[in-house]
Amino acid sequence: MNFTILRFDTLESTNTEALNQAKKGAAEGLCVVADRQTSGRGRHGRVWVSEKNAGLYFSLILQPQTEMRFLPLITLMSAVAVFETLKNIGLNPDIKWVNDIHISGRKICGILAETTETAKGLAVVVGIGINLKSSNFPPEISEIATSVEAELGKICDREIVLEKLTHFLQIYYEILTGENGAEKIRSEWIARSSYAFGKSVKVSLENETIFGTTCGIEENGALRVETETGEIHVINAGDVENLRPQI
Amino acid sequence: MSENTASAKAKSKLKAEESKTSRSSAKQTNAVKPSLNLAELREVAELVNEYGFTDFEFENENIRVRLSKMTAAPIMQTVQPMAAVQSAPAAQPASEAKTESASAQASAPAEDLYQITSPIVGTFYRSPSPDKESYVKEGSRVSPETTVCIVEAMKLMNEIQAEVSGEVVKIYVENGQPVEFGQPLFGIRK
Repeated sequence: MNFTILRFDTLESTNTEALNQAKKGAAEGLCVVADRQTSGRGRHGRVWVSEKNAGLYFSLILQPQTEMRFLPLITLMSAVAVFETLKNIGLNPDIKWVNDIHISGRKICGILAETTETAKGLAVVVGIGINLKSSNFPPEISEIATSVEAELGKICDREIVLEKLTHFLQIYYEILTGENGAEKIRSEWIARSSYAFGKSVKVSLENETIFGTTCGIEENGALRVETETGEIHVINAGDVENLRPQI
Repeated sequence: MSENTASAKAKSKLKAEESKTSRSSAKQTNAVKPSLNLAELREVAELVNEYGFTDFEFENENIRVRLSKMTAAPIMQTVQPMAAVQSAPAAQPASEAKTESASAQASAPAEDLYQITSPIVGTFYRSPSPDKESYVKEGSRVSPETTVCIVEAMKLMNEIQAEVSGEVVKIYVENGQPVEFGQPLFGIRK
C-alpha cells in the first residue's frame, strides 16, 4: 500500500473528507490531514476538540479484502499502530477497549472508523486524532485527556508523529490482511491492552449498564465481560470504563 | 423521481471476479466484448417496460447494464405486482397513496417484503448520532444508494445501504439494540 497525503488547513472533519474522497474513487492509502477541524467527531457525533496545530487529525482510506466478520479488527489494528507510534517517541501507552489510547489513565488518542460503499466496493475510513498539545483543552476534558507534550515534557513535531504512524499502520495492516491476520492482530492487541483480562469495568450500553471483569476478546474483537454471577457478556459497542483508576 | 420505482435486478455471477468495466451505460455496451448488443438491449428495454418494472440491472463478467425509467409514484403503485391488491387508486396524490399502502401493509403480513439484513454482528442505530434525525422512517422511499442505518461494531460504523428501490414498510429492530449477522433490519416493498 502506498500512502498519499492530502493536506488541508481547515476541514470540518478529516473523516468526512476521506469518505468523500473514497466515494470519488480515491485509492487505498490516501490520507487526509488537517491543521484544524471545525467539527471533529468521535463516536455518536461526540466532539473531538481539534484546535489548530494542537493535534494530528488524520484519516486513512482502506479497501480491505477481509472477511466481513473480521472487518472490525481494523480498529484494533489501528490502535496497535498508534500504540507503537507513541511508544516509539518515548511514551508508555495502554489500549483501552476498543481503540482509545491512554497514558496513565488519560486519553491521548481516539479512533473512529466508518465504512462507505464506492464504485470499487466497500471502503473503510479510519480516523485517528492524537493530542499533541494540551494548551487548548477546554476545562471539561483537561482532567481526562492528555497530550504528547504533557507526557513527554516537550513538543514533538507533528510530521515525525505522522511519519511513524503511517509506518506502523502499513506494518499492522499488512499483518491483518495477510495469512491468519485476524488471529495475529488479536494477539498484538491483547499484548498491548491492560483491558484484555482481569480488568474491573463498568460498561455503559444504550439501555443498560454492566459491571464485571474482562476475560478476553472474541474473534471479531468484541470484549468479554464476566459479571459477579458468572454470566459472560459480549460487548461489541459501548463505553467501557475502568472501575479502579490506575496511577 | 428515480427512487419511486420498482426494481428488477438480474445478476449473473459466472465469475467471482468482478468486471473492471464499471457501471457501463447503454452507450458503452459495444466497447469490451459485450454480452448484449444494441438490438438485444432494445429488446430488454421493451420487456422491462412491458412488465412494468422501472429499474433493471444486469451484470456478468463483461458488462453491467442499468436501465431506469422515470415515472410518478401513483402510476408506479398501480403497476407494482406485490402491492396490487391493496394499493391506493392511481388518481390519489402521492402522499396519501403512501399512507394508504403503509396501513394496508399492516394487515397483510403475508406480503413478500425485501429484507435488508445486517452484514455484521453489532449494534443497530437509526441515525448518525443521537441528536440527528433517523436516516429513514416507515413510509420513506429508498433507492439502492440510500443509507438506512448504521451497525456499529468495535467503533467501526458500518453504513448500511438499501440496495433496492422501494418503500420502508417495516423496521424490525429498535435503536441501540444488538443485531446478529443476517438479522432482518428493514422490510422494503419494492
